[in-house]
Amino acid sequence: MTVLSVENLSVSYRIPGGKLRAVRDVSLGVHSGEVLGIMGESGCGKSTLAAAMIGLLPAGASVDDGTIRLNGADILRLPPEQQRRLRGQSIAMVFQDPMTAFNPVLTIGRQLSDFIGAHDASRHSRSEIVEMLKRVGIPDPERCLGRYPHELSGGMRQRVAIAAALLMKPDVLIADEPTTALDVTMEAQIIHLLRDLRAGFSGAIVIVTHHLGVIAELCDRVAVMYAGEVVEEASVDALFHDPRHPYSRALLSCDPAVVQPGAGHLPTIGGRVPDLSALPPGCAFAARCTFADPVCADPVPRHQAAGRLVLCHRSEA
Amino acid sequence: MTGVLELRNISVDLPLGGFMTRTRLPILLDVSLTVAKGESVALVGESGSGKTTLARAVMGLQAVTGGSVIFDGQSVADPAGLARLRRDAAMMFQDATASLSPRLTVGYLVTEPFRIHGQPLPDPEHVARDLLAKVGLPPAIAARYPHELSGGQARRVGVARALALGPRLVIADEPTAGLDVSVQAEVLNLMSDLRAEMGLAYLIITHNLALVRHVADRVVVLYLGRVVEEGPTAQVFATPAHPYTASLIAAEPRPDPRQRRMDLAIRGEVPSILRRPSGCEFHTRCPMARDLCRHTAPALAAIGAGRQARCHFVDQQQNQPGVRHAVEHR
Repeated sequence: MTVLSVENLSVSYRIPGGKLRAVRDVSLGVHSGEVLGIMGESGCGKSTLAAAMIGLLPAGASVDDGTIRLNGADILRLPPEQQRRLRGQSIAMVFQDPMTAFNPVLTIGRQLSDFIGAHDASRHSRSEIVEMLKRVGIPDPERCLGRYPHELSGGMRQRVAIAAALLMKPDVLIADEPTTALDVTMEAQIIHLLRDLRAGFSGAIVIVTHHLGVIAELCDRVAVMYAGEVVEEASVDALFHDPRHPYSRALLSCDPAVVQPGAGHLPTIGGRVPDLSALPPGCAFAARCTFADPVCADPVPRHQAAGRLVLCHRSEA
Repeated sequence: MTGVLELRNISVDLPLGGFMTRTRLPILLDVSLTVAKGESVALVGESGSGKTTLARAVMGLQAVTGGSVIFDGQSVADPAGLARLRRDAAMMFQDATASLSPRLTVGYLVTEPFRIHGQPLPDPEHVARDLLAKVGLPPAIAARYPHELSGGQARRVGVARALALGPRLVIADEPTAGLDVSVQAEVLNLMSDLRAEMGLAYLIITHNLALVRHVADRVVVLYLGRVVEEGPTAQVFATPAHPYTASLIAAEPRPDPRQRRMDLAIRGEVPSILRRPSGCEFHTRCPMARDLCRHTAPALAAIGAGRQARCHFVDQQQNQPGVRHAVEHR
């Protein structure tokens, strides 16, 4: 069942003298029990899309078109009070930096009960919080409740942030670069934790990251974003072993982790993500694409087949 | 062997807060390493392993409590040696944008090292253009301010600044942290080109193992301020001798969904340096720990040409390449 779906969503930021089109005509869905990855370079609209999904777009951003449905309800058109209630109760978010996600002057226990208090004070008790902390791998959870955020390591704070998100039993958990601030050993542990949690969690998980290793380890399906568009969507295996869009191919081949050492120069993509306030006509990737030809300046066709989507003149789904 | 940079038994302690206490906390313990001319050495370890403290100690930004830093055969303890080190060794900082003054143009920033060291600078514009060309930036960028640069461009300006005085050694602190994979590849290519052109030696501080594999000739692994393994990069990755090295390598996510790791290489966190474990300091997280490890600290021992490891059971570890991992097959 599709829990969260984004339909033809376009989001832009107002900038002096124009509009920066950060998300352009994006359609995506995530089913319960599924992990969807959103990948792409910085400045491709990944985080704006995630923020739109949970209704936390920054000031200056506006939804120009499209709908976001959570369990069928169009959340963008709900009154603000109801939107706020959905956040947390139905959609929870884990941020990149687990330090700034907490209030530094309150204990972990106080903040976790606040998290819950805002939504349902009676149902949860201290034991439930302790149980959840234990589940995300906090040693000695009773003692953790009395601690302040700065007393925990980065990995532990990220675990507590995940526990806080799960305490609300959300239908969708969105994690924006959940491991980027962590060491490789902590990253492995958080990947492991998120994978374990899927077992007892019926909701959907959306992971936003530029780290290809995290996508490969964790996701079922992947959407590749470029210049505000989803240019390819496929199952994780199909994407990593048979990428169709030239951008996905280029991105996968230049990861230093996949290139054999001693092979000389690493492949690069060359060029930059285009200016989102002055996009070229046709395909936004054409200027950096090795397969580009004049037809790429025409509107880009959407090839859709067998669970895949590819936006490209030169490649089929 | 003499190198560009030689660290002999470096120890650093920091005073522990408290008015009457004289307690000092050891951060680095007896670290020795050599970077030969034109060689690239990577220093790896988790947060809290002392990597950054070591880099700061080399540059004279952190006083050492024991041991000596020798640059080009001359101790940096005397002022002349330190001045030479600061001129002939350059630092690439982790946060490239933050390391550039926001109120100065790129052109001024890349020529600033000449002004700081009182070197003659007859034609700043020409020098800036040359330096920017060396790192693959167009001359027009000289007129820009740091906030107008992308992450990759700021990193390149950082490299240009480091190269200004023709250094012999570059100390790079997490040179690819926070960059997209495509930009990471560009920075790594730039680093290896410059090394080939200018005979630069690198000391690279990182926890990105993919980076280590691509640019380092030798790797030194730190755990809680001690060297636990050292050796040629290819050998260390193929047959890690210390269980900690093996777990670090195994923890790296693989960009292939057909090779998902189903068990964890390493559990727990780096212990607090306030409470160092007894015996071998890695025993609290080691999959092979035995009684001996809990009581007796192993010494750093040579285990073949250019390789050293600090483990009681080096022999057993080397027979089984790395910690084994279940792989999910579909």
